[in-house]
Amino acid sequence: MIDTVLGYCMFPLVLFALIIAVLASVHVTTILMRGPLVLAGFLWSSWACIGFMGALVEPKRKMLSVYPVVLFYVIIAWLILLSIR
Amino acid sequence: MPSRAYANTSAPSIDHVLSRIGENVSALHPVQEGRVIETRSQWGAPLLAEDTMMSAVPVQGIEGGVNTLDEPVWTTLKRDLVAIAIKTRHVMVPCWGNGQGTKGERFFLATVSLSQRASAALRDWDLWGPLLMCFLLAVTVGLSVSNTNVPGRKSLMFAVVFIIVSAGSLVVTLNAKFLGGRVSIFQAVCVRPTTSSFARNSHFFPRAGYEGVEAWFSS
Repeated sequence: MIDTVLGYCMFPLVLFALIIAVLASVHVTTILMRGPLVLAGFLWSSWACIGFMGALVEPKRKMLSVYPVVLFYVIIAWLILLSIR
Repeated sequence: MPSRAYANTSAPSIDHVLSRIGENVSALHPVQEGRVIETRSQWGAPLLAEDTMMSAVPVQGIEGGVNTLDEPVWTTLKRDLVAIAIKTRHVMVPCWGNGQGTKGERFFLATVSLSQRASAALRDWDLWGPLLMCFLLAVTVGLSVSNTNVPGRKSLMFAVVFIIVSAGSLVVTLNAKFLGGRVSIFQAVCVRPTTSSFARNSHFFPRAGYEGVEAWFSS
């Protein structure tokens, strides 16, 4: 179930990765163009995940469980930022 | 024998069947409690499949609906796709809820705490959605990497992204589990799933393995 939450909350990142890939296929993108898009996807994913994690873990441990998820999303966002060009 | 006892009943639910078998087995082995549960879950699948195949009329499924074996494959696939789309919309716009109902109802729903509605939305969990996200991301990254300098770079990036996403979510899931989540990974959602086709057609899957995994995670 938590795996499901993680997978679905990753959707904004996937969506922005698709947008960046389409942009990069028609034009050369710089890191200044890709950065805000990846950041938006990352923030959106984290925001969604915070809301859903609250339902699964007790409230006082919510941030403790959200923190590794956010780190995980940072890795994916970094990967998207550097590999899609 | 339990199977003969259920030959004339119309549609026994799986909990009923399992509980009746459990009673019989625990009467035979009253001391070994762990072995009783093991035997009960091993016997669950063949009994249910036999009941389903023997009867000419469509038998009710596990969750009380029409058996999905009788409907076209496209209907089953479409239901799963629609479920994935609904859950994705829940994630994208968590404040909006389902998008159904009047404006007043939606406003009322927005005042209910987010976590309650989130848990209600994700009670019928599936693994198709995460697989789809992982696959989409890996394909996107893999296709957009330049293949000119290093041959085989596209497939390498596909594999790397796939492994990072799946292994990373496994690690994060285990962390949330060790933090003592109120809901365990498979417990309470695996018992009576509603939309996942894997669980709906679970007469064909070894029930023992299914429950064994659940027991391992919830112990």
